[in-house]
Amino acid sequence: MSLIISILLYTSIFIIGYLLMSLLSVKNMWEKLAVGWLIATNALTYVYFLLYSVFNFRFTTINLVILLIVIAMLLLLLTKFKKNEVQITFKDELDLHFKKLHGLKKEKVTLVLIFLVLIPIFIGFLLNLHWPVMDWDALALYDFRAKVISTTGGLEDGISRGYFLHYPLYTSLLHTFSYLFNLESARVWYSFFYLCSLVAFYELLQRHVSQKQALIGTFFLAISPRIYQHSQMTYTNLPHAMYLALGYIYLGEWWRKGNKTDVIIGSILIAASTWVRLTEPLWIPALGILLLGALKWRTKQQIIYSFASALLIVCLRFPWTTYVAHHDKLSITNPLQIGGGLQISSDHAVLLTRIVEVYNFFMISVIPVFKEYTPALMIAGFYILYKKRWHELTEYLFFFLLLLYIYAGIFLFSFQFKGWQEIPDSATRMAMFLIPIIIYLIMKSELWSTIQRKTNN
Amino acid sequence: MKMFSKKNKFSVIKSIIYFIKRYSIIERILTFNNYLFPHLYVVANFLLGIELFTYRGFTFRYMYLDTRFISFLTVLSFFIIFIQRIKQSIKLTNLTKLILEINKLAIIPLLVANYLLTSLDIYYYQNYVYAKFHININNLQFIISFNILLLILQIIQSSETVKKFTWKIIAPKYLINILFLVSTLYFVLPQVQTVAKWMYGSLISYVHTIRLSHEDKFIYLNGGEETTGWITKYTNFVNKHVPERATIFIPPQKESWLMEGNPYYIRWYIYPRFTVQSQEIISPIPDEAEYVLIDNGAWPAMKEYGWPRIFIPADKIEKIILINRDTLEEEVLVNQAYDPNTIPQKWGVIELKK
Repeated sequence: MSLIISILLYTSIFIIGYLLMSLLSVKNMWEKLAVGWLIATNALTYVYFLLYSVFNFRFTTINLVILLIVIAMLLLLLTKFKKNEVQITFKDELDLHFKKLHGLKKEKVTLVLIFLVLIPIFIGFLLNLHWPVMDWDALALYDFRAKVISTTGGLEDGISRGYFLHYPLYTSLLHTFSYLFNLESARVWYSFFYLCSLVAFYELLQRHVSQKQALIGTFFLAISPRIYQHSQMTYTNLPHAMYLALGYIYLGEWWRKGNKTDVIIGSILIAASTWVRLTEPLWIPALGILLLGALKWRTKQQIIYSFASALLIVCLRFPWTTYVAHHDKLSITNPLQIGGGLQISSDHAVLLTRIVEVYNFFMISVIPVFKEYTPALMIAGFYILYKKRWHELTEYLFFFLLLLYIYAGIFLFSFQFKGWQEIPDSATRMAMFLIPIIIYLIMKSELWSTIQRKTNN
Repeated sequence: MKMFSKKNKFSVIKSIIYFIKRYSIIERILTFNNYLFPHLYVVANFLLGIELFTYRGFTFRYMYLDTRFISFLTVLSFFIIFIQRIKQSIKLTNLTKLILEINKLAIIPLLVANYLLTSLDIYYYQNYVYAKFHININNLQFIISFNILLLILQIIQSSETVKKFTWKIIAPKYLINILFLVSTLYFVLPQVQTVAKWMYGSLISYVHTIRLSHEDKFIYLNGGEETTGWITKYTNFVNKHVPERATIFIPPQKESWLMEGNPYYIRWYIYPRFTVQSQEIISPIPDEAEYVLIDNGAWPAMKEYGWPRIFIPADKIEKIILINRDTLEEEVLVNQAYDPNTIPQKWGVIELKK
């Protein structure tokens, strides 16, 4: 019985995601399913929270079923009424992809690569279906909230016990969905997240490189130890990192080609990251990209899209922060408000010492996240510089600015929180979103395509 | 003065290329690599063997030899031989042939040894093998994945498809292409090794626990009943005897009470009951408390065990319920005071009079 319920629950979310992506004019089926799932889980939990906080729509099994059905029906109606280019049915798309898969019989290397990517995904599913939630922080907060919400149908009892609203509810509500249907395996959400992130990454990479190369890149991401490890941990780190990374890659795509779908999806993903974690303001650089993009494209439509996207990124967190401020008396609107407020010293000697201290902290906490990728990234970067491909160099520049932003963020944080040096693990987890971006840059390198072009000739 | 003018620079590069060609430097390096590989293999396994009985980083600390780096060099060395053999029919040295045979033969005994040692850890307790035999299982898995990687290279070098694909990548032979490929292998190989090791280890645990119930799997993951996993059984006992929404006096969050004394951690186990605590080990019972844990402390290797450390007179106690950790037998004491020095069991719960 639990197997049937699981299939129904997960399938309904895939359907909602698929319909949502159809509305956003995404054409590729795998992209629709994968990115759709990532956005649908976020949107569904967010809408449920809004309904609860405004209309006291309780977290119960029947309410969840109603919500899933209503949202799916609404999206179905909207896609039917959408006046757009020729609609391809799901069945046709499926047929097309099965034909493609059938054609892969001869492509042995591609099949081997698909198999390699599937190994960590399959093992991840196997383990997450088998093991219960047991990570310390999950029991203390994320899963405890799910336990309280699924038992009482609301947040009141949990709030009265303290340490309950310190992070947005995204992962806790996913666990709640499982518990509402009496499914013990809440960890499986993280395997779905891992799977969908990899497929979305593959689709983004395949826009620039061959199928084989995109599969190799996806394999690199799948076996990246931090990513793999977090796909089996019930923490917020993997969802936060992947929402941010994929969001920035989509914004990068928009920067290159000016496709409106990319800017919408990119902004939704970055905004979605604020529904997972709020303490690190890693969404701010996206506003810079949107502003620069609007200046670059300079059409009325692009300016409207970038403004609307920026608004979405800035405003999505307000219902949550307002709720927290009202119920928990804790201001989390600005992470720099933790502790005693931002007090930057005016003494130059203190500032200089702090710059060095933050540099050392940065080197032991942020750099180890991606240091093994650095040689390949640098070679790829220098090659682009050597070839004078300035438009591609912009992506490297954005990446470098992201690093600078993290450094500046730690620097400001150090003046605001006394124990800043005692939490290197936190900085390491925060920087995890750089891994997919780095692999994307490495795999997109001209050096790979040079190899191919030369051999083809 | 313009020693390195454009023309001069060009002639320097030309002379270097001439020098390399004249003395067949690349060919010599490649030949040397053929002789080097078996020695690298032995050194890598020897160093990994040392770390098997010590800890990861031991050889670097005392000999400045990083096992991960040496392993990478060994794989790279064999990879170069593999590439050479795609287009040329170079002969392997006898020593290399011998080493490759040893590599093939070593895999099964290594896998069996790993399975047995991991099973011992699962059967007794986590870290049993290290405590008893001083063998670091994680490092054994590193040796296995290193050898498996070489075996895979051995196997795939017989595949024509793989050969063609690799040749396509290597063919241009530009220094930057080769550098890029090596730098990619530099991050990929150790990552494959690490993740493969994790997957292998977790699959063994999976097979061993496939028939366990949800709760037993939780206890297993939490370190087993003998150590910190006991908290599940203990809180089941507490939940059985303490009504929902009652308030329990719990130990301080220090010493051996890191789990039971952490109110945000323990609440997951005993919800919807409430907790109250003091950060002092010896402390009077707060007024709001209706129950008091008798908690010896589940965290291993600490100084302080046994709580509460205060005398509670019989007129304040409704009943004392004790549990034997080994047998799970329960005992109820009525009209009796709680004396930390004479109490027969170290785990239980005290129901206070209202």
